[in-house]
Amino acid sequence: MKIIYPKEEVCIGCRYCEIYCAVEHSKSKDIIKAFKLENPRPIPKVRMVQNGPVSFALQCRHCEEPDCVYACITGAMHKDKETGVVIHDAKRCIGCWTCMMVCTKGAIERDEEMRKIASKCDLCIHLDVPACVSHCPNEALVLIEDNQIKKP
Amino acid sequence: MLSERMFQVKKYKYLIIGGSVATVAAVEGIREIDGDGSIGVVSYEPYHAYSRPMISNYLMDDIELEDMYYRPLKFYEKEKVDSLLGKTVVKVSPDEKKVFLDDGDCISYERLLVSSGGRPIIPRINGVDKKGVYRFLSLDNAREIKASLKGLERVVIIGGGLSGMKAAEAIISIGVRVSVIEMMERVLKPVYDETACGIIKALFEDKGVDVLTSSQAEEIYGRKDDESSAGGVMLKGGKKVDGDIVIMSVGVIPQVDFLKDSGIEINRGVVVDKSMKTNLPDIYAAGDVAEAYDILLGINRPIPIWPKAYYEGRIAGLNMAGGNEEFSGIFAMNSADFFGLPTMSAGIVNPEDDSWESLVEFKPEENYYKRIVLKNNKIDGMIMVGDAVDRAGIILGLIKDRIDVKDFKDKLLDKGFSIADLPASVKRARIRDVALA
Repeated sequence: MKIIYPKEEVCIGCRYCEIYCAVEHSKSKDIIKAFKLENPRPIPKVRMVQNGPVSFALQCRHCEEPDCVYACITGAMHKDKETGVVIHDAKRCIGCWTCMMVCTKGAIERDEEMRKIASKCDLCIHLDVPACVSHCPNEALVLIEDNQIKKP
Repeated sequence: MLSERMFQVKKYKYLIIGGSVATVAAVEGIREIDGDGSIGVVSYEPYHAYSRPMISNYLMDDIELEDMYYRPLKFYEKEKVDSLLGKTVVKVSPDEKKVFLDDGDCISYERLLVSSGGRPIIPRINGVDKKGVYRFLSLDNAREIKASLKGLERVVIIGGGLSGMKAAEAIISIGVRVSVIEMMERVLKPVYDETACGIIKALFEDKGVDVLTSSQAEEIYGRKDDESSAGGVMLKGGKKVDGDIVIMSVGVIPQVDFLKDSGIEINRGVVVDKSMKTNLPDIYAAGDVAEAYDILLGINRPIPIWPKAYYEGRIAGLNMAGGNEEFSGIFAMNSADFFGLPTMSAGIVNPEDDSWESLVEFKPEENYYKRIVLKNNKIDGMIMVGDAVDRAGIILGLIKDRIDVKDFKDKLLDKGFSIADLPASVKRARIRDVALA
């Protein structure tokens, strides 16, 4: 499967990833309309995290052993067998936050704009390249096949 | 030949007793390795696997069984599973490799998984068999309660644990008065500390729920006009708490009655090793019926929580199909929303003595509470209320992986605390990758 890999050595913490993620997950997909007019307001599913001068973009890691899927009490989370993407079915989510409790990456958030439900990266599976990757001005996010990754 | 056809016994490579989360997890585990081996599932509940915790949502909201399915309705069909629903296993006979059902049938198996879940604890008090006394564990229980609620004025709940409080939330939300009777000095005591319990109790009282702590139910008395129907609960000391129905939510214990005489080793729950095997060959156990290794307390005990049931069921399933997986253990963890206020806890939340230290941030006006319990720079417990629940899993991960937090202890309470604050090796493991190849 494909995953997004953050390169903290070149991330400048500009948060473009957050903005374009929110736009991509908005109704209008228009940056002005999305932030000014849409209700509920779209929230980003990627976050720039920072520790002093070091920053990088963090989104769902689409884990091989996804704790959120295993712990989800309603069945709203599942891992797609073909793409490997961990998918959150908003319709089935009751906002119990069990997924957030077990995600050791802190990559799941609460979306309370409309109905209290979990919010996480869907890897922009409808696009060739996820919005955060294609809009990162410094190429601090790259899309790679996970067999390109060295395992610990 | 003739007799064999007449008494044809169903036979499965994998037979699973129970129909909830551990069963579904086991099916998914088995099918990862063995795409074709026959699987049979026997469950006393006549329903496709549903989300048991959602029975309080069922009470409160306008939802149906279809909205509660834990997996799509076609799940068993798609995974080529024979589901025998509405049937109860009365006996397991390991010598013959057979289980016997309440309708007289028997099924033989090559490998057996016991994931029969828990059964409600029924306190030994007078009146528990009166009409209008309900349990609160299954969809059928919730259905009975929902059907009886119309026109009621007042409900009494015995037991102020998570399930009792969720029932109380549901019932007050539809406009019926509720009293909760809790034996201990505070509700939710095993799950939260005094501060968190205080926030939650105040919230319930604000919504109109009567919370009676340090109160022991002594008897369920009858109605004035009908002694055989519940009319309320008499407390030790003589106080009467009136209610048109009584819900008992005292807790669950492993459902092991049918395993008596099977030779399967049972302590408080079924005893299993790390691969989820019982003491008998080809018999596994998982979920609420089984004990688990509590990595924080260092003992085996039943921990009736949803995630544990899934982890164990999955490992049992993988191993039944020839895998070689081990369950490293777990600890208590719960997440519950009350009236829109999120709350979470994990691990040791009420430390026994002052050998533990605590990092605390409490903003009463915001219902914001975060407490991290540590010993020797390792986190043993966490409690979060309100917005403090955000990214709670990072802390849970530090508990699980027994990470030394000495170097970043001062950041643990920060709102912006993230995996960027973790030591490089832990951070890299969380991002999942060490380096680009």
